[in-house]
Amino acid sequence: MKHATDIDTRLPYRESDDYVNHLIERCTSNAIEQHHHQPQRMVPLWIISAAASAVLLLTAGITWWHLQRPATITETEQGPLDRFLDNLSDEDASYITYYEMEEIPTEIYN
Amino acid sequence: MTATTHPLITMLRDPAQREQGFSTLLRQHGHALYWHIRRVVVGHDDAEDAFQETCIKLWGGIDKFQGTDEAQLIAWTYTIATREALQLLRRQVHWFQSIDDLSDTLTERMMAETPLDSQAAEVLFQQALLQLPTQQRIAFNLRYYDNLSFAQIAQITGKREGTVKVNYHYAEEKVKHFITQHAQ
Repeated sequence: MKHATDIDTRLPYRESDDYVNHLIERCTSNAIEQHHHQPQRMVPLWIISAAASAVLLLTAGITWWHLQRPATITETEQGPLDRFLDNLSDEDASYITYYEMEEIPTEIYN
Repeated sequence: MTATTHPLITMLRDPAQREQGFSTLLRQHGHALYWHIRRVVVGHDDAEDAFQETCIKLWGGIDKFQGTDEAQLIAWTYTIATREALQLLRRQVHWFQSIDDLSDTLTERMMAETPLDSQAAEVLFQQALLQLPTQQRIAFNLRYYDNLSFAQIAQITGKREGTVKVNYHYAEEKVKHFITQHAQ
């Protein structure tokens, strides 16, 4: 196989040295100029992404919690029915139980 | 023994001399970087775009460069140039495709940009290179055209030296085979 020194390495591409020199010059000044005009990014991109993800997760969590809230209230807080049952005397309670038992079809016990 | 820092690297690290150092760096190595990019992306306009991006990344990343000798500096510039060239190619394929699928497109592009008076052997050689998977093609180009060591190529491509040697060996065999098959 030929070595790089035996072959025109640029073939079949034919940009002249002048063209490449000009390109280098142009790109060098563009790079420096662009950097001067761009404010230095103080916070790395991954930190911004992580913070955005955390905010998103927090929002999703709060939304989920709000959706679950009614079930939580019935378990932990006393509603009107709970208060009524708490204030019920034993006699009234046994009456209610007896009354409810009467409503149950007798075939269940047979 | 304390390693002395290459004068160009010292210039690049000194804010007062940084611009001058950057211009010197590109005057010395800009041609090699341009042709490396041109061989990877093939298209003339694409090469210009990738070279511009490379310059921007080089200038913006000087503070991150940790090396002390020229070989490390060169490897760093090639790493960024290779990354930008591959990035440009990735933008030309769909998300489910590999840049290796661009082989035919790059060959067509190369043929379209080939001057009419080009030698058939030279064109055939380029065609053979463009049939190679991208990693093999890059390993081959860096060794064959840029005369870089396998260790440097490994550093540039982020592969192990053994992997680079295998890539180069396969590339060489495939190029020989392609030319034998297609030469009249």
